[in-house]
Amino acid sequence: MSYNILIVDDSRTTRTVISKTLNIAGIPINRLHEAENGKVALKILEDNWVDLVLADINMPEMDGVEMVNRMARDGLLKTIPVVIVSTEGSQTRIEEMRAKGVKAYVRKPFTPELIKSLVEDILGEKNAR
Amino acid sequence: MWKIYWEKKMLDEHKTILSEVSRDVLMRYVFMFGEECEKENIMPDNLDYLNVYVAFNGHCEGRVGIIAPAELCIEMAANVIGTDIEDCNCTDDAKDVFEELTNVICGQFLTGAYGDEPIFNLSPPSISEAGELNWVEISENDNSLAFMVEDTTVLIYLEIERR
Repeated sequence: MSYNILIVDDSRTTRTVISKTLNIAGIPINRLHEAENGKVALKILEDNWVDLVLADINMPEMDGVEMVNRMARDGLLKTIPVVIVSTEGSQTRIEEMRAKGVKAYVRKPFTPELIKSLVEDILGEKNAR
Repeated sequence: MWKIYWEKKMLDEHKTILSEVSRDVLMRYVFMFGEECEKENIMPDNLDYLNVYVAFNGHCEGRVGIIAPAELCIEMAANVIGTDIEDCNCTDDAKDVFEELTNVICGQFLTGAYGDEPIFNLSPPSISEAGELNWVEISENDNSLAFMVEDTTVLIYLEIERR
């Protein structure tokens, strides 16, 4: 089984690093989507089936908080696991996002091993259901 | 209008946190060793510079910025992407990595200085080209720190709005 994964970050190089990490980790990927903000991400989610979203918080046009809020209000999108990959350090905000269904949180700078381990856990869990 | 935070005790505390966070993020994000140095002993490297800052608001308002030689930013980009300098999309990648570096340092500084309870909103990074005059101006401010990174000098500055 291979997965469709969406990476949402306004930094192109961060998207590249995450993408390389997923490839090197050997995670079976069918299609890797990229978006530079939440608005573009929601459009991709409307048009494509995605198994996992890895998203930053601070982005222009639409940030990760608003993107997660909108996903939580949508019957189908709220079932897609979201991992936040951000410089955000506020536990208050992280807890708010967890309450909206965010599965995990990775603080920048991250290690490839952490991303690999989290993605494997979440996709494994999804597969087991 | 951005103002320098003058309260001596807090300024020293913030400088210590900013110094530790910057060293850690330079190592873990761009894989470069940065060592804080005395500003009295530094001179501009006669190079083109990039200046980027990330503004924040919430618990308090201010910005964290970095001014570094453009050539160093290209090396940073090559390190992050894991490629040779010749193979990276120099200008765009260098700016992108430099912006992200500042963003990460700003986020880590805020947690270090104010803990993990307050919510801060960070603006998208603002980047511009800078010259020797900008470098000298920032180096002379009390709110900047100097780091030796790969034999060049990088200035990291913090401005917090006085309330």
